[in-house]
Amino acid sequence: MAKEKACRKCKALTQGKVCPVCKSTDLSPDWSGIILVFDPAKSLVANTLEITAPARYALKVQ
Amino acid sequence: MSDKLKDSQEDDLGDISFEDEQGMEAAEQPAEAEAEVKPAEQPAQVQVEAPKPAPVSDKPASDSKFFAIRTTGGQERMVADMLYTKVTAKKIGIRSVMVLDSFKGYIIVEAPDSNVAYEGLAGIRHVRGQIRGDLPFKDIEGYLVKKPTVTELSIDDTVEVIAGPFKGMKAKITRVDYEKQEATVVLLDSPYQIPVTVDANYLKKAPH
Ligand SMILES: [Zn+2]
Repeated sequence: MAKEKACRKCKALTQGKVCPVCKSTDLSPDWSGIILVFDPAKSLVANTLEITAPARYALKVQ
Repeated sequence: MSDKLKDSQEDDLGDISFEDEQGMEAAEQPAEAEAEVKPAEQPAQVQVEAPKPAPVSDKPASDSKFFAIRTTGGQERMVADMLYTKVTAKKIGIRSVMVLDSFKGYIIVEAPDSNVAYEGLAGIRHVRGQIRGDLPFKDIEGYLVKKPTVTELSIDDTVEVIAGPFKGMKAKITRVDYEKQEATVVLLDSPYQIPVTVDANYLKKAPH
């Protein structure tokens, strides 16, 4: 499995060098938990985590 | 329900099956084992102990339900990745999927109802379990609301700066603002002992 990194700002996961959601380049290889958000408007999980864009996220980012 | 099931019969159903319908029927009767009877299902003569709550919660009213789906051990991420592709491509109404370290051997699917969860899961490899009723959100919420890093910090702690301009440097905490989630630190590797204030999430307690 390719190593993914998580954005330290919004926690989105990416294999690239730029966060696909917030365009930050502050990415961490040290993360855990995965949250896939498909429908942020209706998702309680997205609401709780204040996620507004559909994407793949880490739960925790170090 | 039966319509949806027919629709998805073309898919490989694997060993997924539904038990929650039965569970819901049982809940409508005064079953002794059912601890989670929803207030709406109770007869109206029950004394209402509090006025109907105003929308005090900051969460929107959501009809989301949460289903814990058993997977082959170690394949939680694989299942989630396959679900991601399928749900995105087919625009299935699954709202979120969680793979949590605290739920080994399971993924948690958020959907408006079990049919939608089922539609997503049908034919996905490594899905092992059955959908049995739904989990209350409060059982999941605790895993999501992480304790902010700032609560773990205190004055005189030695920390490592893990992000921002001082990334990689060791520092000592001189002040913590729990409200703003900021900490003021003195950088130990710097010749100038100038206090700098940084986002608490950029700090990690150094191992002793
Ligand atoms: Zn980001």
